[in-house]
Amino acid sequence: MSGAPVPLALSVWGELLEVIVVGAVAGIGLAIAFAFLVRGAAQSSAIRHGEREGSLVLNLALVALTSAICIGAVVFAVYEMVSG
Amino acid sequence: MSADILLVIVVVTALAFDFTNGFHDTANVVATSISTRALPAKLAILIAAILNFVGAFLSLEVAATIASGIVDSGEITLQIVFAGLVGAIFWNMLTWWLGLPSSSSHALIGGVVGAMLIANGPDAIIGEGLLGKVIIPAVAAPVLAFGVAGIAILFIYRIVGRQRPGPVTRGFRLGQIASGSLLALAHGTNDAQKTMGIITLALVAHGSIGGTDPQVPLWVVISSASAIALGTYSGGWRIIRTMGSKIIKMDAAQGFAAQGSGAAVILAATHVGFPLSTTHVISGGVVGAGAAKRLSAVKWGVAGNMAIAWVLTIPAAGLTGGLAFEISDLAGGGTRGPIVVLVLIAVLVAAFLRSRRVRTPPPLAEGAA
Repeated sequence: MSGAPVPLALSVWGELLEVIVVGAVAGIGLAIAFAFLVRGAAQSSAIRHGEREGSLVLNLALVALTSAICIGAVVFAVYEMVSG
Repeated sequence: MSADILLVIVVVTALAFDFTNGFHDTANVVATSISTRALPAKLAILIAAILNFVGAFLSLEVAATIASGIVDSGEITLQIVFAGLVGAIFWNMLTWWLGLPSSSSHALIGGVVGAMLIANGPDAIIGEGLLGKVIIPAVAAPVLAFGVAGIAILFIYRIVGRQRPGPVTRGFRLGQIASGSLLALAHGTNDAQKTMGIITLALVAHGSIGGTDPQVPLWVVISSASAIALGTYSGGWRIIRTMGSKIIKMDAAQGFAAQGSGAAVILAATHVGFPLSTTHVISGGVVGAGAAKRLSAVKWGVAGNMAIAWVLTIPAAGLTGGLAFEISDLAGGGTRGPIVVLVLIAVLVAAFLRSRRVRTPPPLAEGAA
């Protein structure tokens, strides 16, 4: 293993690339998950009120899954804040 | 006695900066929620203030340094910190007056860099640090947020496009409340720590606490949390209006795309260890969410003014910080220098307020009579 220090500029570009990838995945992923949560909730409500046909169970499963993803994201975010 | 007075001046100025930081950055957290009526304005600001206060207690990990890696830490004195704070407060107040969102962190860094430049010359500035920690993130943050919010809103419209608008709007309003709350918490955690770091540094320099592994005293945590929460509660309405309605007229889904994906980007960047400015991310997100729907929906003139303010933040705060240091130094430095600067600022503010009062026209009724 070489002990040569990595030039700062190079490490900055590496970190920046990581931020772009992680930020894009987190930002777009969370928006998609929450949009499906809203869609599942809206469709479940419409089916329950007889305004629309479709599987209530499937829509509720979609709500449960996307809720878990969104709550997980919030818990992870708070953990990140607390751990500094 | 003289050292005690200097300590009090720096602590009070740091808390004043903390107040302007909260005041200036309220818009990042509440503007989209108010604009889309996810929350009534006063309630949104109250929640943001409380969460900023709570956030300040969550972590004390980074409360130790100021402009670390950007200026030579060994050369920082209380006079430099004071002048840097003056530069940052000046820029925060000017951009608030103009209704332009800009980064309080960059203003503080600019102020300290300017004061350091005057005090110790260019050798005390770490150019690579300034480029890597400030300039590159300042360019990357709005561009990344613009792209992420833009792609996010396209996916959102595709996923919920055929649903009834009522429940969808209510759903995204709830999402805005959640993401805004997270942002407020993160803002309190990150930004109150800057003030805690400054006050801790002042206490170490004064000899009130030990220099090796200094612990942030509880009164510092409480006063910093209170100052940023009070600032947030005061609400910078000019910037809230710019971010909430002057850039784009947004719907709840766009508000969520800007704020939700913005919060995700900020926390993802924190996780990687490459913190981005909340202001730059949320502003970029608002423009991205608007432009993805329709390019002409964005008032590009307002967005351009914001970009100009971002470019000018470090030079302008630096110039003011440098000027404050020079005046303080000419007045003899020590405790007398900062006192002279404060008196000068008080005189200038009084003259400004007086000039505005004089220009106010008399009531029409008097003229008619």
